[in-house]
Order: sequence, then structure tokens, then C-alpha cells
Amino acid sequence: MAEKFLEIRGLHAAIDGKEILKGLDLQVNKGEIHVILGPNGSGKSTLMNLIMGHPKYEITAGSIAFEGEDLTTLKTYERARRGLFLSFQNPEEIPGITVENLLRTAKKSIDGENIKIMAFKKSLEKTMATLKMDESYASRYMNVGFSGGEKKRNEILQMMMINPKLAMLDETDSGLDVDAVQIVSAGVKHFHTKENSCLIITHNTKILEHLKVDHVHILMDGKIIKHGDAALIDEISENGFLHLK
Amino acid sequence: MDKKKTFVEDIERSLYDIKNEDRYSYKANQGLTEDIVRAISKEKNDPDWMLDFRLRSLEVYNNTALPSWGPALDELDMDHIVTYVRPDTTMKGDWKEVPEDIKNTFDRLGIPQAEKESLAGVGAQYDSEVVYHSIKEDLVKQGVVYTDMESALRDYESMVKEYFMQLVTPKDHKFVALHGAVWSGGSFVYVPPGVHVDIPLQSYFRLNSPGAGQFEHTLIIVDKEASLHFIEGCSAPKYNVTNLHAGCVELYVKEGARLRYSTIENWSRNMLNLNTKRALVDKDGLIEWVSGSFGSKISMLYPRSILRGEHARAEFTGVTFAAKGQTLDTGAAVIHAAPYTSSNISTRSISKDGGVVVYRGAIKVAPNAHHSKSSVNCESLMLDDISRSDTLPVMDILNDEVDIGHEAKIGRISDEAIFYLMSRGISEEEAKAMIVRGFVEPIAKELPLEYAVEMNNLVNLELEGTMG
Amino acid sequence: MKKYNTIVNPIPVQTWNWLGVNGTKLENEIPAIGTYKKQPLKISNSAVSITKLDQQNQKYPVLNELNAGLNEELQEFVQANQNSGFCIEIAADDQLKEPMLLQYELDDQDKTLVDHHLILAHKNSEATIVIGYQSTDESKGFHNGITQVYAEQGAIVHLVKVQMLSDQDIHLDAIGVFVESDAQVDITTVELGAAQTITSCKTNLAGDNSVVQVQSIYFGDKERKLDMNYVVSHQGKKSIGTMEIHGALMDKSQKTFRGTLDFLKGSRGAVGNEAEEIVLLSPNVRNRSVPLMLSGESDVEGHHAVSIGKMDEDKLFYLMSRGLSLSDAEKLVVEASFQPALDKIPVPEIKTQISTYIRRRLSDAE
Repeated sequence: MAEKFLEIRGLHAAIDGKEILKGLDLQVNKGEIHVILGPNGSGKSTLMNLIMGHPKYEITAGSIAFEGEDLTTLKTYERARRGLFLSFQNPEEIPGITVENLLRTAKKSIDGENIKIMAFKKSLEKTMATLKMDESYASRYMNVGFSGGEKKRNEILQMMMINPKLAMLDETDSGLDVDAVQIVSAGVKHFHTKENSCLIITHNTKILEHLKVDHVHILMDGKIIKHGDAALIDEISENGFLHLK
Repeated sequence: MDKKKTFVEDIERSLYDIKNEDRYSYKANQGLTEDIVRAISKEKNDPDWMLDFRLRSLEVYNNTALPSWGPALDELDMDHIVTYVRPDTTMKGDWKEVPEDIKNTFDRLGIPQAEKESLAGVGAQYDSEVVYHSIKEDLVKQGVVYTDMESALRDYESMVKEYFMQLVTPKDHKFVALHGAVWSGGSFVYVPPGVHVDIPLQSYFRLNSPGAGQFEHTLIIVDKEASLHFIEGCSAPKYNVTNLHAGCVELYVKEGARLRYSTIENWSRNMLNLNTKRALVDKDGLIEWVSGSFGSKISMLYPRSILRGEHARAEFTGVTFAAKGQTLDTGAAVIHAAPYTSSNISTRSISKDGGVVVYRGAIKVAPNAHHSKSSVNCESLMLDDISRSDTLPVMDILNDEVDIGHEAKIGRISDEAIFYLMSRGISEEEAKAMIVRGFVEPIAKELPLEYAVEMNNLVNLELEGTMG
Repeated sequence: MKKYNTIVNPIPVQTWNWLGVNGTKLENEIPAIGTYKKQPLKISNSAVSITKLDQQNQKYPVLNELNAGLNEELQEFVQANQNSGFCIEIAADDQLKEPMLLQYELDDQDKTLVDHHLILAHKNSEATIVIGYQSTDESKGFHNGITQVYAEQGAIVHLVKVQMLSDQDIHLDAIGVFVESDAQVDITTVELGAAQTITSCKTNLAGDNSVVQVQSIYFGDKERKLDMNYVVSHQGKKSIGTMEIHGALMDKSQKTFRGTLDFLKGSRGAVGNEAEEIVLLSPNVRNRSVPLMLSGESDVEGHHAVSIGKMDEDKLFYLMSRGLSLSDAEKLVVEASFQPALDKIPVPEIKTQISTYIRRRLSDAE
């Protein structure tokens, strides 16, 4: 019996009074890889930000639960500590805080224990090497002066170091060149095991190439209008979204 | 070096607040009269020209009005300030000989420890006199002089006479005139040509006596092609009466020389800090100011760099954090008085709980200072809406072949940044603290590690109030 | 002849006296103020109520809301000696696309001008008013005026002031603006002439979501002196204020620009931007810039930037790669920096006049 991770039922959400999600259902179980496709403006990013608890969105109806626990009463950092992770579409620049410093603080906050410095450093070096990131990035300020692609790689670095239960990737491949997409894709594949899950928003199928996609959802006009398996991805690639309306 | 918050609070705060018994071998009467000035001069065995200088300064003081700008100084009542307190000891060269209570104070502040680990010389001033002075042998052999001002007045009289209060003169403003009349203590440093003092020298000023003033004078001359890093630290316990600090720092950077002057100022919240600092930089010379202002009730501090020689440079990096009941009016001024000079000013300020922070700056380019460059960057973070932040920069440019840029920002901690950090499991309070620490990071990284740690601790302490 | 003996353009917060920017001493002779005989209203609009504004007219209490005047003394002087003035009142919901034009000319007949105008835009109206000051000959003209703009809720007002007085004239001008919620006021000022130009522009963004955009260009040459004091006070929530100042100085001209962004407590969500760019073209000029930023409110975004001296090297390089000499490229870059403000002037003749004037003066440089 598959273990339920994320369960969303009848979700309605609005921002500034405008309704974006209009009755969305979604279930992600442990070990699964889900992909969300949809035209721009359909609410994909909204969904992920909402799951992570961004205060600017308001849930007007429905529920979100993770491992059986209602998320809506939990603050963002409490959700992160329960095992949720979001790779942002537009990661924030935070001057004065180094990549390494943030990682250490995040791990400590999430794992709740003191970090063993040497082990951490080794792990960081190894992970950066896997992502073909030069070690100098560790001491650079968070995303300051990073190109779009570098910011995305930094997000995946964090994902791999934090090792969440559910990793939500919001267009992680946008802004990356061909080689970088390969590396990120390999990173996600490396991360994914039977014990964790991924929810991926993408327009570019290349990132999915090495991944075994279990479910594909089409999100349009604030609702999931179609489910399928990996074959659905090819169908959309060929025919687009319009014919589904 | 992560300490748990409460642990830091318990240790650090009380650390600065420890009051020793007010023991002294001589204490002047309250107030400021010619008799008091004469008494101080006699107590210190001044040469005649110095007594003369003090009396002339007193006259200027009496004839000068308070500044017409800046924070109100109504609570300054010179009639109730004690301008001179000689501690019950003479100056020692060995910590073991320093009286117990005084030594303990400096022990807790980490001075002897720092000296052992990372300093080439230390001067420790307690109330109005220097109680301890040391300098590593090999520096002495190279001709480096690091001593207290009184000894310098005796042993290097002609050099001191040539430079003393020539850069900052009593006519400059009322509190320099005050300083000229009642100055005591401070350090004299001379670095001979070509000598590089690789390990910092530090002077620490500790005011213990309630209602007293500290008027130390620091005079540093770095001769041609030499270099030095000088660190100044200061603190005082909190009293209910006002204490006054009107010190003076004069820095001479000769041709090709380099001087870095770092200060972490953590006076108590009853202190009026009216310090005057100035540097005169000759051809190819460089002055670097690194400044952290956390204490005082009112602070007026504007290090001024005069770039007198071609290719002279000035760098200023500062952080100011004003919390409840504090008005910290700080900034920097640079005068480009020669061609090809350049300056860089970078400040960060934070205000919370009704604190008032002011950046006051000036960049002046003289008519002959062609090909001058200057870049000023001030950022201000306000943590709530009962505080204030004012930015008052002025640029006065009298030559057309220049490149002058200025940028200032004011704002609050962005919600997006907090959300991002929270999405990495960091609590809201810790996220805010991280962002504030990140905000002051450009200054922290200019300080030697221990001081950066101390600065971060001070930042954390200040943030304590905002966090639940 | 009487003389002024007063400090004008006081800076909102004082700083070191040795910088000489806390205020400006005005010691000029005060000429006897005659009548202004010409009809300045050149382009009118039948939909708009344009009446004479005189001091006995108590019809407009809003005048009291609008602080305008280089200082109190000069404000009183204008009120006491006014010899021209209009109240331009735009009715609610009237959105007028065509600009109105007031053109003043100082000459032997009209040596002195003391004008006081009120532009009152009622709810949701829209209008553009251009006021120009010129001089035809070299007599010492005197201008001291006040223009007040009141934008009611949702109104849009565009005020353009162009000054092209001659080398001996004195130009004292104060603008006061009050913006109610959801209203927007654009102020475009062009200062090109006069021996001495002393102006101020104070805006109160009183209402929520109020907007002000100030675009100013100035050109100093010969021995002209310019002294400006611009202030935007953010009072309303989410108020937006923008000040963009472009200038060039040559010969022995001198200029002091004080630009203040003031965020009052309660102006949550306000955004203020100030940018000043000055190009210096001769070694004997003096430029003073004082970009103040004051805040009593944490939930704001304030940004100011000043750039003095150098021109954008990338732009120069691009132009030179297309065959222009360095000197020609520089002139073009200066002209280009004035363009955004010029584009806001809806009267083509005036726009051309200004461009020609600047181009001619620039070609005299070097």
C-alpha cells in the first residue's frame, strides 16, 4: 500500500482577492515522481508556493495534508522541517549570507542537531562536484551576481544537501543550457529514491529524460483537467494545450 | 563560533556593565573652569607650552556655540561632568602589576588574551590615564614607537609639538576646543619609513567613573612606505548620570604609507560620544577606516579624510546600529585636495525600537583635484516603524574631470527573503537575524576575526529585543 | 532700492555649515513691481474655467494646504505684490488632451513679473498646463512667482515650466503640489537662462496611491547660478514619488540641487526614487548635490542615486564606433540625457526652441 505523502483535496486559493486555484485535487505518494504541465498563468507556481506556505496566498476552500498532517496551520519553516522543499523559479538574492552558511543553518534547523563540520564540508564538496559547481560558489553570497542557471543549480545543491521527503521543482530547468540541464537532471535522479518524492513543473521535457515519471497532471485555469502517465508528456509536446480546453 | 542566544546575552551584556569601585588617586572637581584646567595640567606635569595650549583652547570653548545642526545636546551639562580622574595606579608594562580590579576588567573584556594571541602591542586606558602599555620587542628594534601620550610628550616632545592638534584644531568646533583644554591619555604611534607592522596594535579605552568624561588623544604617524593596522576599542558601564566622550584622533599617512584604523564602539547608553577623527593622506598613501557604532546615547562621529597628495586614497566602511533611546549620527567626509585621488565610502545602518540613525556625509573635490573618483554607498534597514533613518549626503564638486557616484537605499527586510529562508527550515526570528547579519557582513569581513565575532554578537544582542 | 536679506531654500534637515547648503542667502535688490501688461494666456481651453487669481479671492481654501514659496517672506511678497495670476480649474471628469499655455515675456514694457497661479483639478479630471518665461532683451528683468497645483482624487495634472530668461534676469519660482488619493501630478521643469535661478518644488503625496513624477533639466553656462530645493513628502500609503534630474554645467556656472525624499510615519508601502545626473563640461564650474532621504516608516522603499562628471562610456564608445568624434559624441550624449524631459513638453514650438538653444550652447563649449 503506497504511503501517502501529499494530499490535496478541493483546493481553492486566491491572491489579492483574485481566485487562482479553483478546486484542485492532487495526491503524491512516497517514492513517486509527478510532473505538472500547463500553460503560463494556470496556477502551477501558485500551487507550489501555496504548499510551501507563502503568506500572500489565501486558501478559500479545500485542504492540504502531508503525511496525514494538515499543513495549513503550519508556518513555512515548520513545513520545511516536516520534509518539504521548494526549488524556486526565481531564487532570492541574499547579500551577506554565503551559500555554505545558509546550507549549514538550514540543515541544523531541519535536522535539529548540531552539524559535524568536517562531515558537512565533505558532503558539500562532494555534492558540488556532482553538480559540477566550482568550490568557490560555497563562499559566495547567496545568488548575488549569479546567472539564472547558476541560481537554479544552487537550488538543486540545497535540495541534495537537505534531502527532503518531497522536493517541488518549479521550472528548475529554465535558464539552463543543454549541459546544465543534464547535470540537474542527473542530480534529481540521484536524489530520488523509494523513500522520497518529486513534484516537477517544467516546459522542457529534457529534464525528465532520465527520470521514471509516474504521473502527469495538466493544470489549466486553476484545476487539474487531465491525468496520465509519461505518455501524456509526448502528447502535449506534439499537440499543445489548446485542444484540451 | 555559534553561541546560544541566552548564553551570549548573559555573558556579554554584564561583561560591559561591570562597575568597579570608583577608586582614584586624583579627581578633578565637577565643571570646567580655568582653575580646573590648570589643576589637570599640573597633575600631569605638562610642559609650559601645553598648559598654554589648554588655556587657549578653554577660551575658544567658551566663545564657541553648540552646533546648529545634528542631535540636541541639551543634556550635556559641563558643570556636572568630571573632566579628569586619575586611577589609583601608575602605568605598568606587565599585567601582573596592574591593580586587581582594573586588571579583571580588562581580562573580562578579553584584552590580555587578545594581546597574547593576536596583537603586537596594547595600550589600556582606565578613566583618564593609561594603566598598561606594551609593545613587542622586535617592533621596538625596528624603531616603532607605541606609547601613551604623556610619555610621548616627554620623550618625543618635538615630534608631538609639530603634529599635536594641527590636523584637528580647537577652532574646528566646540568639542575639539573642550578636548584641547582637558585632554588626557591616549596613544602615540610612530612607524618609521618602510616598516610594516604586520600584527595590529590595539588601544582600549575604559571609562569607569560615573559622571566623568574621557578625552583621550590618539596621534599616529605612519612614515613613508610603512604600514600599520590600529584597533581602537571602548566601553563603559551604564550609569544613570551622563558620561561624556570627546576624544580626538589625528592620523598622518605619509607618502606611500598605509594605515587601517578599526573601531568597535560600544559605549553604554548614558554616554554622549562626540569624537573627532581626521586623517591627512600624502601622495600614494591610503587610509582605511573600519567602524562599528553600537553604543552611546548620542553619538556624533564623522571621520574625515583629507587627500592632500596625488593618488591618495581613502576607504571607509562602517556599520551603525541604533536601538531604543539612541541617536547615532555618524558618517564620513572626504576632501579631495589633489589630482588622481579616490575615495570609497560604504555604510550600513540599522534602526529599531525608536532608535534614530543618521548618515551624514560630505565629498568635496577642490578645483585642482582633477581625475578624482569617489563612490559612496549607504544602505539603511529599518526594523519597525517607530524608528528613524535619515541620510544626509552632500557633494561639492569644483572640477569637471571627475567621476563621482552616490547611491543610497532605505528599506525593510523583504518578505520574499524571509519566506525563502523559512522554506529552508529556518524560523522567522532566525531568518530575520540572518538577514541583518548578512546586511552588516561587508563591514564584518573587514575586521579581524575576534572583532567580527564581537560585532556579530553585538548585532545579535541588539536584535534580542525584537525577537520574542 | 530695498534689498532682500533673507535665507531661501532652507534644507529640510540641516547639516555642516561649512558645506554651505543649509540655505541660500538672498541679497538682491527688490525692484518696484509694476503691472504686467501683456496677455500671457496663449492657448486656452473653453472647457476649463480660467479666472484671475487675486488675493482677495477667498474661494480657494486649498491654497492654504499648499506650502509654496522659497521661504515665508517671499511667499508673503508674492501674495502682496502679485501682478499676474490665474486660477485654472478643471471640472470633475473632464479629461483634456490639449495643453494650455501661459507665455510670459519680460522686456522694457514689462520688467517685473510677480505671478501666482493655482491649478485645481477636480476629481478624475485631466489637464496639461505649460507656463513659459522668456526675455526679449538684455534689461534686468525680475520674476518672482508661485504656482500651486491641487489634484483631487483620481485627477491627473501635468505642469510644465520652461524658463529661458536672458542673462541679466532674476528668476525666483516656487511650486507647491498637493496630491489626493489615486491622483497623479507630473512636473516638468526646464531651467536654461537667467543670471540667478532660485526655485523650489514641494510635493505632498497626501492620499493613498498618490503619484508624483518630477522631471527636471537644467543647463548652466557663463556665470549663471542655479539653486534648487525639491522635496517629495510621502504621507499616503503606497504613494509613489519619482524625481529625475538631468543637468549640464559649463563655463563658470554654479549649481546647488537639494532633493529630499521624506517618508512620513504611516506611509506604508511608499516608494520613492530620486536620480540626478550631472555632466560637467568646464573646469571652473561648481556643482553641489544634496540628495536627502528621511524616513520615519520602515515599510517603504527609498532609493536615490547621483552621478557627477563622467559620461556613460559605453554610449560614447558606441557613437564613436559610428564615426563621431569624442567631442561630438559627448554633446550628443548630453542632448540625449535631456530628451526624456523634453518629450514631456506638449508644445512643439517650445520643445524646438529648447533643443536649439541647448545645441547652440553646447557647440560653443570647447
